[in-house]
Amino acid sequence: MDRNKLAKAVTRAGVLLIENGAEVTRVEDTMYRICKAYNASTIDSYATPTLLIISFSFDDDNQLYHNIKRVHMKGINLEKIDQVNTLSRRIVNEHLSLEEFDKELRSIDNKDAYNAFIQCVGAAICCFGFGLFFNGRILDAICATIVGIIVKIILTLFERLNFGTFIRYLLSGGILTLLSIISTALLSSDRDIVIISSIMLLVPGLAITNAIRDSINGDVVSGLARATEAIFIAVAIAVGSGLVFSFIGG
Amino acid sequence: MLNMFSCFLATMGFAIMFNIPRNKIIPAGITGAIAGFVYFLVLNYSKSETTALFFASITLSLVSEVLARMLKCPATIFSICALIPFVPGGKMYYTMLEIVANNLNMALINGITTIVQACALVIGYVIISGLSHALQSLKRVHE
Repeated sequence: MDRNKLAKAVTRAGVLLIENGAEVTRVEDTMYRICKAYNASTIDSYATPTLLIISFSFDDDNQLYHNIKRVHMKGINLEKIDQVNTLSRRIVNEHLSLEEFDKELRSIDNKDAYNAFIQCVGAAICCFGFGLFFNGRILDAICATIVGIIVKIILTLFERLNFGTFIRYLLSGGILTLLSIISTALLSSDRDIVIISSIMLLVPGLAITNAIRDSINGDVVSGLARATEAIFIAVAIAVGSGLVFSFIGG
Repeated sequence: MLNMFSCFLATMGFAIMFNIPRNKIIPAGITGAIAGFVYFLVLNYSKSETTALFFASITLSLVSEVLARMLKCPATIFSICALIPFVPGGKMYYTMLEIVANNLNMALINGITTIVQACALVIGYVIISGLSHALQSLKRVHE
């Protein structure tokens, strides 16, 4: 077994987890368990939302193996987290060879997410549900659905165009508010309910939850990183919709 | 009933947007629906949104731990999707609205409520996942 290869493969598993929105404890734990399954000793794994470090050695030779990797968070894809998790469990239980492990990782990495259309359907279902959840009438829920679909399309478009996160959320927040005000003017729906229901698409819920969870678990550095991310997204949304309100009147 | 249905829909929507495996979308929705039921039940009796959120998040973490054992996948898959609808996005919006209206007192009240509610939500979740971790290591020691 090529031990440098193990270091690379383990880091790739960790990168996959962080990129797709896993919490830090899970990443560190997974990397640790995989190394352990390949009989490494004195394993140390460290993960933050932007950096991964793994270091281990073996009892029979006098060398240290490690790998450092810069990570960029991409988005949320829980399917990939599920699959990496299953894979790590299989490594522990079935003693997969390193080649198989590497191959499986690649196939997980190359798997496509749901396409844009299904994502929009998801956004539609979601906004309709929120419209009802916030005690709106059916009319409000339908308005929220339409606004939600448009915002989702815009958000995906901006993502393809490689806008920065801040600008992306600022513009989406502004457009969302504008659309809601228009729908209120045209269809006399409840403005606040339409905005709240569709704004849930933009609110960084996962970042907030992960931030608090990481901090409670003792990973203060990544907790802070995620909290900062969440706060800036929230500020961007607020600035976007606040701008529209201050022009049109709240 | 309608409220449960709305939670079901919202959770399912997020499940699709977060790309969870196809056969787990409906279970995720059910997790959300049960959490929604508890949320409105507690809200009815205690009149405190924060308490209701706390109990809702305890329920949804419990349900997702059980589902995770049954379907053999990490519990986060269900709990994240069911948790997101309860994140106080509405309160965040009202905070912003009050700031724009130059009504800083109300903005502060809404802002602090947002933070407290988010914490209540996550603390409920952390308690249950911590307990399940403890149970697992207890089992390992026992073996």
